[in-house]
Amino acid sequence: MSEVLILGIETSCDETAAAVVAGGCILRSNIVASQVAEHRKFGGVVPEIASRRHLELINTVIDSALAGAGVTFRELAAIAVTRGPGLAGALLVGVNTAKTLAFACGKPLVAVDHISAHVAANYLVHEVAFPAVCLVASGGHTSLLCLENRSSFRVMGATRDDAAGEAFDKVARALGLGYPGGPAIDSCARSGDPAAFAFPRAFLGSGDFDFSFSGLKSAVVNTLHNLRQRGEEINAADIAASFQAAVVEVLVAKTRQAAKDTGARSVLLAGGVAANRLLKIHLAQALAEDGTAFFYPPPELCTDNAAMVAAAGFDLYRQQRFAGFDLNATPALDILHHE
Amino acid sequence: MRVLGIDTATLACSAAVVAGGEILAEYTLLVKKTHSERLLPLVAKLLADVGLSVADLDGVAVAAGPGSFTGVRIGVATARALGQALKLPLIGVSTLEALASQAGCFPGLVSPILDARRGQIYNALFQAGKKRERACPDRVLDLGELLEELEQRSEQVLFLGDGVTPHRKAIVAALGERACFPPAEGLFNRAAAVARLGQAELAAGGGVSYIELLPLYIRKSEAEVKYLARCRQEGGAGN
Ligand SMILES: [Zn+2]
Repeated sequence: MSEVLILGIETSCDETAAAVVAGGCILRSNIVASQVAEHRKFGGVVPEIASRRHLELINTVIDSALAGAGVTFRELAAIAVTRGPGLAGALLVGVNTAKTLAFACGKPLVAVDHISAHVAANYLVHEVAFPAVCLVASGGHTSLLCLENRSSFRVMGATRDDAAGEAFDKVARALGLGYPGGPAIDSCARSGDPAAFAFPRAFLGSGDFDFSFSGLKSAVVNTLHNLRQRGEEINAADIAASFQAAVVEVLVAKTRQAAKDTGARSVLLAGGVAANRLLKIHLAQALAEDGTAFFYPPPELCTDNAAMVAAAGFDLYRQQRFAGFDLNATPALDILHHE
Repeated sequence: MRVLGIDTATLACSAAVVAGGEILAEYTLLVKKTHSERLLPLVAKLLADVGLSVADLDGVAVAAGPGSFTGVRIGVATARALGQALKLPLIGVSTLEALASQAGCFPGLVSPILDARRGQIYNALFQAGKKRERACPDRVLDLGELLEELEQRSEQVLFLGDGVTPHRKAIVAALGERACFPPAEGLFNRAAAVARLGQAELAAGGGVSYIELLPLYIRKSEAEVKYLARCRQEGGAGN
């Protein structure tokens, strides 16, 4: 049997991406055109500018992904695209491109939700033992999922306000560290003292798996404000380190508890925040004590990419869950109500 | 030569096929429902109903703007993907030019106006004559500015486009008898006009690749406008 080749397309935020994945786990090509530099001067992603760039780049990126994999449209089994959540205008470029390609090439179309795609990044690099718990943390979402297998999961908890990555971005901005905030905080924190400031750990020990990061963000902003008012010197490294320690402590504790409660054989990290060094170190330590396997994708598969979309699309393809040509973008797609 | 025309730049979601200069079919929806859901099913039905497959097409013409940014992108993304998958030449047609071409042999000036929000309109002027020559490039301006400009002239002016209905009173107040309007079915953007213009351009050796086809936004994004204004201000302050 010839291998199942899926073309993945991703345009939910500020990365224009296309990739070809074989059999749901073998990376054949993975092209990402990042717009991060273009949005930096605005201090964050500007939806209209992102949408315009996606349209200019998408077909070239798809050509590169096909060429990189050495295949043509004809050899594809299906085309997979991120339908949401994300920026409406940005998602629409990918969705309309994908479904028109599927129509014109006579290929099935699969619509992937972005969070499942982040989870699936793990399948590209690891043989995962199920059941598993996955912490998905990025600029747009923070949730804990319990996975029965590759294609069935339930949401154990999620953030009630800001996403973890969003808190990183906002604190980085408050500290004048620039955008995107995750890597900026991570590197600034290296020379800081994580115990310098006692920032709040929201919902720690609450017994559920929900998160809240807006109180933490406000505490950092208030601390900065007070220091400035008193004319005291601001040690950005100490603040970054203390903030990061607070986020990581909560993420690690809840993830560890979720794994214990579900009897998970492995724990996965997914999303941009999974690239955070401290989070990986602390989770690795905690899970080693518990004897639970721990996996996370390499940094380039943690941030938005289309290989993860193709990997997640493979599972939908296998179940023949195809999308129609009336597929629309779902900017606020709620994975809790994911069919 | 068979050309598919699509136009999703305004409220109208429209697709048409022309073959050898003849319009075979046109479907147009004027309902508030997202073009992203409607366009491709409309194209699929259109082709099936005239007994054609995508492989029978020789080119795709699309209303490339100006118009709703999102609407324009849906049309252009669809055209680009068709061009990429089928290796077809593409023709980006000005939404305003396509509208003006619906005026037929109206003897005066033709002035399509599209709602550009924030109290402005997208507009271009087209001269009377056998070949309707452009009198100005596509632009975005206040209705008042356009009417002032037209008050300096003496010809009859035909207005079409989705800007007519909200502004009809103001237009008549300014131009009186000189203001002309088509019947309702001539007011909105139709893909048949886009396909017809596209076919003419293709026959004349025109057409671009899917990489080259780009939207004609006319207007910058608001974030960019604000950013540039800020840069100018800071520059002006002697930074
Ligand atoms: Zn993401």
